[in-house]
Amino acid sequence: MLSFIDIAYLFFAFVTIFFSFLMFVLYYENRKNLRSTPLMSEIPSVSVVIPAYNEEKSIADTIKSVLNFDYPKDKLKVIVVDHSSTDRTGEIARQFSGITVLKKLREGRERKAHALNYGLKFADTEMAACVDADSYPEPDSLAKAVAHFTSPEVGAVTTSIFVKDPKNFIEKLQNLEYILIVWARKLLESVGGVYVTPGPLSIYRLSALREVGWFDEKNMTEDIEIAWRLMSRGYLIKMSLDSNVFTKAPSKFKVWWHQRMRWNVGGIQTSLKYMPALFKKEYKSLGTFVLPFFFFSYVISVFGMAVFMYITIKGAWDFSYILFKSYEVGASIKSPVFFDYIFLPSIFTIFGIFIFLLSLWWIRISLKSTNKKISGLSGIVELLIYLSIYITIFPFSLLYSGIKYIREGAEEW
Amino acid sequence: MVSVFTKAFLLTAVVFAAGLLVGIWLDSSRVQDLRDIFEKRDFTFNDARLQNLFYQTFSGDNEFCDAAARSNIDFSYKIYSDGLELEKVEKVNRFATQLIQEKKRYALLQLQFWLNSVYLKQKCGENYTTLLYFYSQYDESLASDQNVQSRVILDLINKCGSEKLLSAPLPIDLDVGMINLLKEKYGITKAPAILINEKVLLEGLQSKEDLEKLIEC
Repeated sequence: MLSFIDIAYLFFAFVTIFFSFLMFVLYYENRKNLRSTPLMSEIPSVSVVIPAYNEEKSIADTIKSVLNFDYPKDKLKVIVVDHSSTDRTGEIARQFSGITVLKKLREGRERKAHALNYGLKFADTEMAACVDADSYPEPDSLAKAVAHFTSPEVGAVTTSIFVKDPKNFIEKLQNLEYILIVWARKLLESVGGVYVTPGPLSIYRLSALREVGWFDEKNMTEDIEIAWRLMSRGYLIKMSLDSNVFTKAPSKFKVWWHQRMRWNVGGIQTSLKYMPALFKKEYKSLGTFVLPFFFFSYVISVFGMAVFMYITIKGAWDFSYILFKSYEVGASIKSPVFFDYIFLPSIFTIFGIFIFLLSLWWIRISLKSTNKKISGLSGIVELLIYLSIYITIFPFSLLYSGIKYIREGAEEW
Repeated sequence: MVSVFTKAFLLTAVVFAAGLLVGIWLDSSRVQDLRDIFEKRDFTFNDARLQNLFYQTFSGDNEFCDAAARSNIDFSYKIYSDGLELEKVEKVNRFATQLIQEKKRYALLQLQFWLNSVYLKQKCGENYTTLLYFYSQYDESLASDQNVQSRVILDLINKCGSEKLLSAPLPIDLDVGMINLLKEKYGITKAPAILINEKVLLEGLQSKEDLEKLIEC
């Protein structure tokens, strides 16, 4: 008969298959328009704001990338905000001509939004593009993204973000992750589900930013919060698949973990802030899709992890008990005959294999659609580790972030 | 116009239902395989019993005893391998409730084997130990102890040889009339329990050392 664990497994299988099919349906219904860039009737002016804190290693290349935009120079303004760097960031930025370099003092633990808002005060254009100081947009990325402001309801446009020169294993795993996120974000656009306007390059309608009250300086993930605020005011967020940006990704596990914790805490902080909008139609897709999706994924992640932990701990406990008792009563030790059972097809293997194949198919489409490749044995290993280990870490980091948020709040970050 | 969410839900429902049906079909076909094996085993046992009756009727005791002992041991090997198959099916099956019925049939095979072994011991003076191992089918809290106990018994069979130690595992909570009768006769109250040579009853997890004292190899 079905046990609680069996029912939990079937529930997870159902949810996973549902979301996979949702993405496939979105893909097949929209595939003809996914790569299309609308034609611009007139070219809007854009201020590019680059907040920078101790980015002496990357700031020069970021500014060069921005100055290299295929965009009319008379319509482009570049503002670098040196957020009280203690290194040569400001000095390097000031060596470039034709850009504005501002210095904004940090009095306490002010975050990136503080610098962004300061820089935006000097923007006197129709649009504002925010670019992280360790990111490198391609020359045509801005023009292609700006073209998606096809109506006044479009409040922001996000871009395709990839890892810059992924070399070590953790960078390669993140690159694969970024590719899948880019692709998923593009597909979610059609249901109003672009839930973040990431820092490496996102373009905002300046009047919309002004209307919603700029970036939230208290929020840890200002790029999620501003997207939700725009959505809550009825603005649409578009995704420009052909606007490529390359950004530096953590190359060490510790840095990666810290980044994920920050993202998770910011996500929790934002979710709690917008909880009143949950399931409310007046908040458009934020209330009817994004928030339910976030809360559902939190519950699923934590519940799934609890079940996983229960199985693991119970298994370890039973195994230890059997070992101890076997020693006590003089029984021989027999290793578990895992392979006797795993190859017997059951309801679990059927759904497990189906989900695995669906994931592979999905990754193939994502790679093809973003013109990326995974090849060779190392690519296969990378893929398998991504599917088996990398994504399994997320629920743990989410739970850990939740505990940290409850204990310390968001101020300590 | 059907929304993408409805389409995705309908697709999921279809795939999920298909997966469940395949799972149920696989479970049922495995139970059917077991049923076929046990039916074959019933036939083997009845055939052996008739042969014994033949020897008893037309031949001397010596001839009967040799042939009966051989077929009894042969039967024990067969039901042991059937038991392993049953164990595997039990691990993977989730839907087929008929599996319990097959488990009961398997218990009856084990009881036939045990009764035959006791009969031969008395009739032919065979020199072996008979051991009944009572375990709980449903009590999860006993699973680890029962796992260890069954390995202790298996170790003893390996040490003594399957001709010298004849054991039969029996589930005490499957409501099999004959097992209930044994429970009543020997006063078995809990699992795991071991009955050696129809005389000594041991309840709780028993060590190899303690059992060795009671078993003649």
